[in-house]
Amino acid sequence: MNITILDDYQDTIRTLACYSRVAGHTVTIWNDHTKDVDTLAGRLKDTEALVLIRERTPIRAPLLERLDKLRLISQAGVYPHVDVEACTRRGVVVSSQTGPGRPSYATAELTWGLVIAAFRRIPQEMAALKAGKWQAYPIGIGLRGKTLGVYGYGKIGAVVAGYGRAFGMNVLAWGREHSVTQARQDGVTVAASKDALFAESDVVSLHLRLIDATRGIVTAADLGRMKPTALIVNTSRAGLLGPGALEAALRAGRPGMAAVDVFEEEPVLGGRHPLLSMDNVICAPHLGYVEHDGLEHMFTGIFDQLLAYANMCSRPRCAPGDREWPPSTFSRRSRCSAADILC
Amino acid sequence: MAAVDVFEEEPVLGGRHPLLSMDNVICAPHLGYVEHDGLEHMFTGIFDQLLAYASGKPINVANPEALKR
Repeated sequence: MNITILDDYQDTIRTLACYSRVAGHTVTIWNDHTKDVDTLAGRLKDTEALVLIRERTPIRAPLLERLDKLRLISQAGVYPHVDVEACTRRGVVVSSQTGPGRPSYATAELTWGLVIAAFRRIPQEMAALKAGKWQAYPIGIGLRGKTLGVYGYGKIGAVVAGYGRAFGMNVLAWGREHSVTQARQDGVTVAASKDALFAESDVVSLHLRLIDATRGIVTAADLGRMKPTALIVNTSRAGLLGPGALEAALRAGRPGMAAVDVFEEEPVLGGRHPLLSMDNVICAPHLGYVEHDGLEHMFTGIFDQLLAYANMCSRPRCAPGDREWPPSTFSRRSRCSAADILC
Repeated sequence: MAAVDVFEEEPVLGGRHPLLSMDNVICAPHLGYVEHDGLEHMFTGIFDQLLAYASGKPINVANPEALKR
């Protein structure tokens, strides 16, 4: 099977232990990024199984219509970047492990790294030290006794709240009904309101999914309620804030600092983002889930999905040339083009 | 890898330390205790010692022999 993996920026996938699972297949790995449909159509013209790393590249109908050999997309997590209906029309199976599983500890840990880094100005001081200066910035702030506001108390938010407690912080939670209920069950204080969460917290960390209901959910008014000394941390999605809202709020002095791992358009190349030039902001290149153990786990699942698809087709009842395959598995019948390729 | 906050000679100025040019090392300028609440606490004590001395009742004296001279 011709397998293509897109957007492996750090050339990590071939170093994972689970990579051996696809040893019997022809694998092409791209390390650079493009959203250009013509370029992608060229790169993927012989691809039968497409492996995506999270939401790095959108796969929409105009591209799918040009990928005649494509039979399977295997990825992990939510798939707002994939036109699933177009895939279904074309008989392209989309496999994506989602739903309850372990929290992304990788994202929670990165969040905490950013919290400490921002409060103690570690990246700025490290850069200044290399540039020849010693303790060049205003003094950092400790976490003990401060208030951590977790907006979105889901799997990741709950882990981050635990880190806050471990650092002697007062933890407040806010979010939708499920968040509030879970926080209460865990003994975490629920903020009196969304306004109170933003106004009272020294650190506000966002742990919400980006869906229609949460797009722009953090408003200019919310940011304007934050303390001038407070930090907002976004390791979730840039779209949770309105376009330009964070830059404007920081310029107005509330909040005083930001730590950002996610951007409206990724990857950010050429240093072209207004937040990158602000001294009170630390930025990371969407490193949240980018961590060895998490990717090992993710790609074990992604490759297993891929092998399951390939094996399904090697069953005796799936003969070369079958036009219906496999009738019992999908609610909508797919062309048995997979059989032509794989059996 | 190494992560280093302390150096043989401090401050390190002009970026002159071999660790600073190593890609597998991250270096901070002795930030460990350099934090607002900690310094507030530290200097509350330091100024109290100073005021105690000024009022004729030194506290936390490390070398009581000096008081007799």
